[in-house]
Amino acid sequence: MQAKKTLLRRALEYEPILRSERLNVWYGRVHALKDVDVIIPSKRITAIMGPSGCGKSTLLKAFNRLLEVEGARIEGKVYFRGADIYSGSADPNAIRRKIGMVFQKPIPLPMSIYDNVAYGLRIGGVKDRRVLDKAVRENLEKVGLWEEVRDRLRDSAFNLSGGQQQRLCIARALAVEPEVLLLDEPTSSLDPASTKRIEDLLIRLSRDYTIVVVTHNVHQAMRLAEHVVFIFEGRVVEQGEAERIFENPKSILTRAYIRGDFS
Amino acid sequence: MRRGSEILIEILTWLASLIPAILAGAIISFLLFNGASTISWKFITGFPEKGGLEGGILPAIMGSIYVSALCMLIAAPIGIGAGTYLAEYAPENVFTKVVRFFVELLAGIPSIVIGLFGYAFLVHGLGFSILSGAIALAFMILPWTVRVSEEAIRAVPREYRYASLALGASKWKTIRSVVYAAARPAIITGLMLGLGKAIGETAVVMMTAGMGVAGYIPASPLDPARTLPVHLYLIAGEIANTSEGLRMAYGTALVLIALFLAVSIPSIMLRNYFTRRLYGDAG
Repeated sequence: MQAKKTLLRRALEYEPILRSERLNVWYGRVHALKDVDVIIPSKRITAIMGPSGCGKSTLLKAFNRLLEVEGARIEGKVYFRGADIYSGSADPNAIRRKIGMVFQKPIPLPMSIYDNVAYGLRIGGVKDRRVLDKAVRENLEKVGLWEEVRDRLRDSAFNLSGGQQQRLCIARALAVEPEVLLLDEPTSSLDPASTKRIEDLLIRLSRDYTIVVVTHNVHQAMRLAEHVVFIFEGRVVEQGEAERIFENPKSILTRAYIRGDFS
Repeated sequence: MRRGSEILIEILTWLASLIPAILAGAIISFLLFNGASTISWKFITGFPEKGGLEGGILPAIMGSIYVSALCMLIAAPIGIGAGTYLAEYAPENVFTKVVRFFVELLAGIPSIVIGLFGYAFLVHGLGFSILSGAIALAFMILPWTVRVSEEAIRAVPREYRYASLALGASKWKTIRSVVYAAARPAIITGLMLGLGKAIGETAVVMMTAGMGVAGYIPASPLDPARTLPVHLYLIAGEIANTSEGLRMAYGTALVLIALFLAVSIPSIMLRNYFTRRLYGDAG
């Protein structure tokens, strides 16, 4: 009975929180994404995988409109909760507060650990010291960093190790209370122990957040993902339930990639 | 084994690097040797007597401080503003190229010409005054404050901007909260170079702030003022043939250098402090 209920709940939550429709992206003359239709299910981990240069990071950045900052040209639609984020009336800053992002290399801002976590709240207009203190503590706790840094919140964030910096960046992204967290190869510059910590953290966070992680590491996708999008040369080759794709891929391209024939 | 010519080049470049260091040391030792005996409480806090032959140089010290401080109040915001536009907003078009060209051009205009311009346009309305002098000096150092601000802002890694934008910050909020913070050490260094030029400048100030015998301490920005370099120029040019006048000139030069160091040493410390606070021990 319990299992059935959970299954039903999961099925209901399978509504796509993000969806792209005939999405095309160009960098100058380079056609980076071609007619991409994907769905990102709510409150699960979706892995976007594919060989380097296939356009997976580009797709990730299309979800929070960071692409246009880099000067890319975008055509097509991306729906977040049913509303097109590229429509004329959409506010990119509001979208980015709902759809947070963590980058490949940890990017602590040049300020203290505390100020890094408080940054998003402050630019949102929060000034109350107690609100900030509470948010900083809660979000550092969420990423398991609080005990490590509670005595040196005023230190520069650059004094942290690479793995700690990346967890700080996740805490910073969570502090603005997003619904979706986009991560662009978040562990590619980290050692195995730090990678494990981040992966465990993402699995925990997927109970409350929709998580989209770009990876070129098939094993990481297997460990994390419930939903998988496989991209090759700017096109979506296959997408769907992770289990189904890893066990029984439809495309020979996907099969070869999973087997490790190319990367 | 290194070739002989390699070693020769290293020796030659080493010698070349030695020359400016020796020069700076020689000038300061020379001034200390000749001017140290002039420095006294009376010299620093007193008023000039007998046309500067005796007494002190307090009015000139205060004149220098007022003129260069006001100059920075004008040049720093304009320099940072223009640097921000050129680094963050300016599209690569004809307008931007023309602006850059004129900034470069302004840097090349001799200070005496800027003094003449200031005399014609500022002194006419504001009289020989601290304000006229400060504005004209600001014209002179603007190219530097613009350029160092632009370069400092450009040098901030793009990733910081992306990280801030990804948190929902607008472009201006990103510039204000992240880019300026990261660029601050370099901007401070650049502004201090400009301030150093302003403190030492003679021609521009002479033609805009006036040079009459400074018998009183200026009280308003519209009062005329004689700065240390102008004072030095006048006593060195007219009364230095007496040993007493020469002694006063050396003492004034020493105070001028001390004023410059009093500004630049704290600014270097400030820069290091900000760098450490931003980047921790990694900085």
